[in-house]
Amino acid sequence: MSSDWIIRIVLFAIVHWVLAGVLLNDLVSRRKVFGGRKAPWAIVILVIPCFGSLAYLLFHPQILNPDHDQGNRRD
Amino acid sequence: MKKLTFRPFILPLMLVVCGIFYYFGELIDWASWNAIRESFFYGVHDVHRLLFLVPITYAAYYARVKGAVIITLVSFIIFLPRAFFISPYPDPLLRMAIFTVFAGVIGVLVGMVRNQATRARYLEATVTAQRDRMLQMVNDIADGILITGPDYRIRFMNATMVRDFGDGTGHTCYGHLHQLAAPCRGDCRLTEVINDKRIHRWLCPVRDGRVYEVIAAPYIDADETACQISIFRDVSPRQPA
Repeated sequence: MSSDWIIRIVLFAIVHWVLAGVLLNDLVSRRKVFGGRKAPWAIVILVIPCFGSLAYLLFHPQILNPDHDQGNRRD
Repeated sequence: MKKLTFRPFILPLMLVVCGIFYYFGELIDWASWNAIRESFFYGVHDVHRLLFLVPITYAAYYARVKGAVIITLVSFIIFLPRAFFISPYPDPLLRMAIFTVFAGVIGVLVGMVRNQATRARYLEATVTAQRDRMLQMVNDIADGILITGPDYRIRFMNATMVRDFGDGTGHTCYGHLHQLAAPCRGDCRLTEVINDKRIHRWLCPVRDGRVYEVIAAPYIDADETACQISIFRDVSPRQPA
C-alpha cells in the first residue's frame, strides 16, 4: 500500500473517531433518541465510518440547537 | 421585528446546497447539461470551498463550539471524495486540510465569542437584578440613607431622605442639608470615616430644628471611590401636644 493511501486512511479515521466521540457523547446525554433505543445508534455511529455519524445527525438535528434542547438532556 | 430563530433543518439544507455547488462540474458531466458547462466548475476548488464557511459560521453562531466542530467535520467528509478521487490538481488533500483547519478555527472562535457574549448578558442581568433588589430594600427603610463622596457631593439619597430634604443628588451635602457654603465645622466626620475605615456616630441638628442621629461607615462605590454611607435617624424631641 502506498504512503498516499495510508495518509488518506489515517485522515479518514481521524475524522470518523472525532465525529463519533462527539456524537456518542451526545447520545449518552440524550433522554430520547429516534427509534427509542440507544444501542443501535451507538453501533451505527461506530461501525459505519462517517456515514453512521451523518445519519445520526440527520435524525437528531436538535444537537445543533442546544438552547431549545435542554429538556431532552440529562444533567 | 420578528426574532430570527434556528430551524433544525437549515444546516443540512445549507450543506446539501454547498455540496451540490462543490460537485456541480461532476453533476453537469453526469447529467450532460452541456448548456451550463462553465470552466468555473472545473477549476481548482479552493474558491468553491469558501462557501462552506456559511454553514460552519451559522452552526457556530447557534450551536457554539460543538456545532462548529461537527459541521467542520461534516464539510471535511464532503470534501474527501474530490481530494481522493477527482481533483487533477496538485496536493488536493493538503489544500483541503488547510481550509478545514482554517474554517474550524473561525467556527470555534465565533462559538467562543457567542459563549462569552451570552455569559456577559447573564451576569449583567444577575447584577442588575441584585442591585434593583438592594435599592428597593434601601428605599423601603424608614431611616434616611445618604452616600457622600470624598468631595462632599451626594451620590445617593433614599426615598426617606428625598422626602425630608428634597432630591440633592450631585449637590454638596453641606449645601443641600445645611444650606452652607463650606463643610460643617465640628459636626462633619466624612474625612475621618473614609480615612479610619471605622463606623462613627454623632448628632446632627439641621436648620428647621430637627435633630438626626447619624451613623456613618466607609463604603466603596461602584467606581472604586472611597465614600461614606450614613444612616439618618430623626431623634428630634417630640413637641408637646
